[in-house]
Amino acid sequence: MNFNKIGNSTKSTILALSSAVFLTIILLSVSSNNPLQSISYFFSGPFSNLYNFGNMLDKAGLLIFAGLGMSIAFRAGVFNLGGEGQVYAGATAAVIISISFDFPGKFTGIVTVISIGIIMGALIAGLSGFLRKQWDTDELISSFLVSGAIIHLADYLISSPFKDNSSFLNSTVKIPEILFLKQFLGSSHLNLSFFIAVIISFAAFIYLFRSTIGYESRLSGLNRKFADYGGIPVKRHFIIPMLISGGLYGAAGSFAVLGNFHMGIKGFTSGLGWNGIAVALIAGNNPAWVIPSALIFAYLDAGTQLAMIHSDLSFEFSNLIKAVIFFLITVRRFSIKKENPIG
Amino acid sequence: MSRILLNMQNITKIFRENSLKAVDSANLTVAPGEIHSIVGENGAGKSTLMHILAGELTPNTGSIQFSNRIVNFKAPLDALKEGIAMLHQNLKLIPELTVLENIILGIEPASKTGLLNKKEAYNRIENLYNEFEIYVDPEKTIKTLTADEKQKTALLSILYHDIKLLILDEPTTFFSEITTDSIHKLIKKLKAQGKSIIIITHKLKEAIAISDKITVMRSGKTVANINSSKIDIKQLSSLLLGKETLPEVKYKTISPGEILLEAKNLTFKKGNTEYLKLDFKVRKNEILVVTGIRGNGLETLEQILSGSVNQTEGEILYKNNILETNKYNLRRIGAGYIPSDRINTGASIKSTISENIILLKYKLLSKWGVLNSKKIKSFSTKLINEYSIKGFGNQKVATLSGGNIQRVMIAREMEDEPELFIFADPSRGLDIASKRFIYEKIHKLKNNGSGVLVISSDIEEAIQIADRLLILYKGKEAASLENKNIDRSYIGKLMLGLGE
Repeated sequence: MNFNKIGNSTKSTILALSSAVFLTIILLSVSSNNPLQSISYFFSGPFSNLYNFGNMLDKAGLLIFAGLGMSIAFRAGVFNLGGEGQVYAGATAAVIISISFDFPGKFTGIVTVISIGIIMGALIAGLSGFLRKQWDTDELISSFLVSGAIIHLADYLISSPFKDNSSFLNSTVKIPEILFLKQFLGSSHLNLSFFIAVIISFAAFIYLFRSTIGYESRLSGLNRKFADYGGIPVKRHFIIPMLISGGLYGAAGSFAVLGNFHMGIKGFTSGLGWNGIAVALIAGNNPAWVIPSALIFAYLDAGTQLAMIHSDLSFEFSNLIKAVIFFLITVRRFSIKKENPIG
Repeated sequence: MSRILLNMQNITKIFRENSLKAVDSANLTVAPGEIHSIVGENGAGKSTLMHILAGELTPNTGSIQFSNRIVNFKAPLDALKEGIAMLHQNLKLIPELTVLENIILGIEPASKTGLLNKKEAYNRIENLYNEFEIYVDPEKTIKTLTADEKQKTALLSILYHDIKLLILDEPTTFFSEITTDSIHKLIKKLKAQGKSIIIITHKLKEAIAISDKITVMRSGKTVANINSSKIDIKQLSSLLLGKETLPEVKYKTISPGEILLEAKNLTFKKGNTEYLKLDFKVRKNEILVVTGIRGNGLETLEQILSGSVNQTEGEILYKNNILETNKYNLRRIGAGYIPSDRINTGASIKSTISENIILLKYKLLSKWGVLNSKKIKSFSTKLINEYSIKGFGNQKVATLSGGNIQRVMIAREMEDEPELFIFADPSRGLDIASKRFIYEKIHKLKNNGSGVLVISSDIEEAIQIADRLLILYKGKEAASLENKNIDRSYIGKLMLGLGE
C-alpha cells in the first residue's frame, strides 16, 4: 500500500500508535531490571495462551460498547463525560436486580438484567441532555458532575446494604448462575458480549450514516444552525444521542457483570468510561473503526497488565504507560491541520 | 529599473480533496506604493493565491520573493513578521476579549516588569485613530460590537502591525457601506506612506477606479497584467470571462397574481429604538426587492422572517392565514429560503454536497427511517448536473468555491419550485456568470407562478431583478415603486433618507 495515498488522519493514527509502542519500549527498558522479559510479556503476553487471549477479547468487547457510546455523542456534537458513572450505575443496577429477584428462565433473566443496566445508563446521561435542551446547561459539566455523585452512591450500595458480609472484599454476593453468560475460550472470560458488541457496532454505523435520525444527529453536530435552518428539530438531538450514549455505557456495565465479574465489587468497572473516550478518538468517532480501535486498546491494556504480573514492572509504571498511549492518541486528534480553500 | 516589492513566480496549488488546480502557474509582481487589484470570477483562484501569500496555505510549487529575499511562509505569523497582512471576509476575532486585547494579540507590549503594558498599546491605537480616522472603544468586548465596529477592529489589528503589504479580500462587498468610504481613504493613505495594497475584487469598476495595476485571473491562471489607466470595463470583463461579455437579458414581466405573503404593521422594537415598522405584500408571479443600506432594517426583516427573532407588533399572513414565523413553519408551508449568512447557516461546509442537498428531502429519500443511498445518489447527481455544480456528491462543501457553494443552496431550495421564495443578498460575492445564473433561476421561478422576496442592499441588483422595489430607511418604508424607468440616483437618495 502506498503510504502517501492513505488519508492524513489514518497516517497520524498510525504515527501515534507507533510512537506509543516506541515510547512503551523505552519506558519498559528504563523501568525494569529485566527489560527483555518485560517487553516480551508486554507484546506477546496477550497471545501467550487462550486464557489471556480470551480475556483481552472480553475487555475489547466492553470497550467497543463504551467507544460506541462516546462516538455517537461526539458525532452529534454533545459531550458525555459521565461514562464512568454510567457504566458503574449500569453494572450496579444489574447486580442488584440479579441478586434481588428469582428469574424463571435464563433468556428472560439475562434480557431483563441487561435492559435494566442500559436504562440506568441512558437515564443518567439523558438527564444531562434534558438539562441542555431545557436550560442550556452545559452537558459536558453536568454529565461529569452527575457521574461523580453516582459513583459514590454505587460505592455505598455495594459496600453497605448489598455487601456480602462473609467476603473480605468490598463486594456483593455472587449473582445466580442461571444469569451467567456462556464463556467460550476455556477458563477465559470471553463470552457472548463480545459478539453482541461487534453486532452493535454495525447497528451504530447504520444508525449514524444510513438512518434519517442519524443524519439529523450528525448535521446537528457539524452545524446546528444549518440543521435548525433546514427545519430539523435540533433540540431533540441533545437528548437522543445522550440517551443512546448512556445506554451503551450502561450495557458495558451490565455485560461486565453477567459475562465477567458475576458480582458487584467496589469500583470494579473503573476506567471503562474514560477508556471509551480514547477508543472513540482512535476510531475517529466512526463505529466501523471502533472495533479495531478497541482491540488495539485492549491489547495494550492486557500487555501492560501481564508485564506487571509477570515481571518487575510496577503498578504505577503500567498506568504511566497507558497514560502515555492515551496522551499520544489524544494529541493526534487535535493535530490534524485543515486546509480551508476559499475562492 | 523599476523597484519590486513582491514577486510571485509560477505558483501552483492543488487541493488534495478534489485534486483541482486552484492556482495554476500564477505570477504576480507588485511595486512599493502600488495599489494592485486582482480580478476574476468565483473560483478563479484569487483568494487561494492571496491565502498563499498570507501564509495560510502552502503552494505545491513556485517561489515568492519579498523585499528582495526568497520567503517561505509556513503560517500567517511568518507572513506578518515580514509585513504582509490580510483582512478577511470572515473576521478572526475572539468574541470574549476586548477590542484592545484582540488588537494586540500575539505581540502584546510588555513593560519592564514583564506585565502587559496597556498604556503603550493605548497610545499606539490613539495614533492609528489620528492617522486613519478609524476608531473603536478599546475597552469594549467584541461580543457587544456592531458589525461595523467589528470590521474596524479587524482593520486596526492589522494596522497595529508594521506592515508593508496589505491584502484586502473583497473589501467593499463584505464591509458595510459605511466603511467603504473609509476603506478607500485608508488605501490612499497607505499608498502615500509607500505601502502596497492588493485588493481582491470582482467589481470591475472599482478595480479600474482605485488601482494602479490590475491582474486578471481565470481558472487558476494569471492571464493578464495591465495598467488600469489603459483599459475600460468592457475590455476587462472580456478578459475576465475569456470571451465577449454576454448581452444583457431582458426579463419578461407578467402581471402579478394573488397575494401570497403579507406583512401588516410588522414592527420590531427594542427599548425605545424601532428597528423595523413595515407593511408589504408579495404576490404570485412577482419579485419584490426590499432594499436599503445595511443597518436600515434589512437584517431585522430577515431575522423575523426566518424566525430567529419575533416581531414585537404586527403580523405576517401567508395566503391570508396568520403565520407564526419560525423555521418549522417556513419549512412547513414549503417556502424556499436562502439566508445572507451562507457559510454558517445556509450550508454545512464540513458535510458533503449530497448531505447538504438532501436537507429538505431526506425524509422522502428514506423508508422506515433508513436512508435510501441509491435514491440519494441519483437525486444529488441530478441536481449537481442541473445546477452545474462543479463537484461530486461525496465532496465536502468546504472544498468548493463561493459560487459553487451558492449553487448547492439554490439547487436545494429551488428544486421543488416553492411558491414562496425568500432570498437574501442573492449575488453577494459572485461573479458575472454566477449572477446571471441566479437571476435566471429567480425569474424562471417567478414565471412559473411563485412569489419571490429578495432582501438586498445592492442597488444594481435591485434594479436589475425587481418587479417592485421597497426601499427602507431607518426601518421604515422610504418608497415603494414599480420598477419602470427608475433613476438609479433617485433610489440612492431614498436609501440615504434624502427623498422628496
